[in-house]
Amino acid sequence: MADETFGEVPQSELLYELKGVSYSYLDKFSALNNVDVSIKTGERIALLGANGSGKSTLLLMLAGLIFPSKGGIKFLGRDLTEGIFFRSKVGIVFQNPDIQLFNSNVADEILFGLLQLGLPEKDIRNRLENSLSAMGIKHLRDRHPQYLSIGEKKRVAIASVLAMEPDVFLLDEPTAGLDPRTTRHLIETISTLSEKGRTIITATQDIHIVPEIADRAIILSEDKIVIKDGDMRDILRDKELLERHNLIHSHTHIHEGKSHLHPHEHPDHHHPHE
Amino acid sequence: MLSQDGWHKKFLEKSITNALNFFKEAVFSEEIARKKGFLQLRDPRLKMIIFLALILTICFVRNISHLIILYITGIILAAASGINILFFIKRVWFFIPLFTLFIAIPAVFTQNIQAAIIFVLRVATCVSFAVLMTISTRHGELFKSLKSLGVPNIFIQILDMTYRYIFFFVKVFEETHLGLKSRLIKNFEKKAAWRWISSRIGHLFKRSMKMSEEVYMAMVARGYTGEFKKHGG
Repeated sequence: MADETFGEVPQSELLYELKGVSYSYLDKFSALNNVDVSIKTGERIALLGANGSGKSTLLLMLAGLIFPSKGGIKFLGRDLTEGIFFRSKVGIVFQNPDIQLFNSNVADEILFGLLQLGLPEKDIRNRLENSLSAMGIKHLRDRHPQYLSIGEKKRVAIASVLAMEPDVFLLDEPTAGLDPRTTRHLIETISTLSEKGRTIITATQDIHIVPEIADRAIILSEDKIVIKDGDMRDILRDKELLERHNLIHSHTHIHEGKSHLHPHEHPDHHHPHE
Repeated sequence: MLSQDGWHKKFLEKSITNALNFFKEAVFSEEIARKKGFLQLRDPRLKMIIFLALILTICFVRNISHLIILYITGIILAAASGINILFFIKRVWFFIPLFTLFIAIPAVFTQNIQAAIIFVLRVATCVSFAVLMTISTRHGELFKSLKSLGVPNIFIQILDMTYRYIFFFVKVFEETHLGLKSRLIKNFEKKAAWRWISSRIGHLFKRSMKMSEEVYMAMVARGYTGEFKKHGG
């Protein structure tokens, strides 16, 4: 990752303050219930919860793309409003990269945000090159999105946000559908950004990646309320809590001819056996 | 809802596969644009100006034989550019009914057959040149030449996005069809097949509505405020 691209950010400032935030679609379907959360600059947070627990809704709200039906959000001490200042500070990577790749080639995709910010030509060029190389996609620059694999699309989506150099990164299920190498690259990118003081908020169901991308975890329940907010290690140790909220599940295994029941991380694959 | 003979399954299968393949080949393939034929080697901007002028001229031609000559010119140009003539003619006539049928039919009933023929020929010739332009030019080049001819950025961006997401939904439809195929043990009755297709069209429509909202959000998140900013400005 090109280190010179991402300058240091002052720490410990109160970044977000959510008070009694609720959201409902069409005034009928509740998507988030009475959420109180404070987030400081530079924090690494994992938003955990099963499908439909309101993680994505919360992220969209932190991105200033939807606004609470009840309650309020403050960003850097002021009521959160849209505007180019806010957009340059907060970047969001959507779960489905196809919605984020609406330009006809990779370079144009990355340029889109930079042009909207109205940056000088020289900065635009530098940022384009830096973000292409940070995500290892220089060879894809002229490619149309329809000819990219899901992993490549995801890299482009991240590069397009990275280029805008926001202070806050909101990531929605960033590892969903990715191969191990792309997942690794993504985790390293998040670590580098975090070392530079960026705030990283990741909504995920992939418990495996949490220890590497977060220090704090917030669990949303199926009732769309915050059920637990605290140190990531404490939360990951509480298997009963994780199981109750559908983040891990128990199932039977056969080891050396004997079957036994033990908790299994959700939703899939590998778990170490000693 | 299931029948024993294979005809209906084949009917559904064939219509979907043919339509998708034709669509992909006709609209999205850059295979022809990459060839080194007569039209591919011309400057795309020059090509666009000449073709636009030709299309405008065709709109005012009232003589059937002149129209036929122009139509044949289009076919000769296609042949000179390494385009399969049959594919080209099929592709042009595939779009004709959409434009002409409803407009030309009343003319036939009011006995003005000559006017109807002129009208259909005119559309066919115009579409021929428009198709020649688009299939002999790579999409990137096409949009760039539109830009250099002074077409406002917002139109180009909308065209570009339309193209991008039509392709996306063609793929979604194809995958849905594969999903159905993998679970289809017996054959579909014609009625059930049509019901399936119409429900999928409805589903795609809903999905595209949702997706358009999300794409808009993704644009806003990167600073879009209702205006596409151009490079260097």
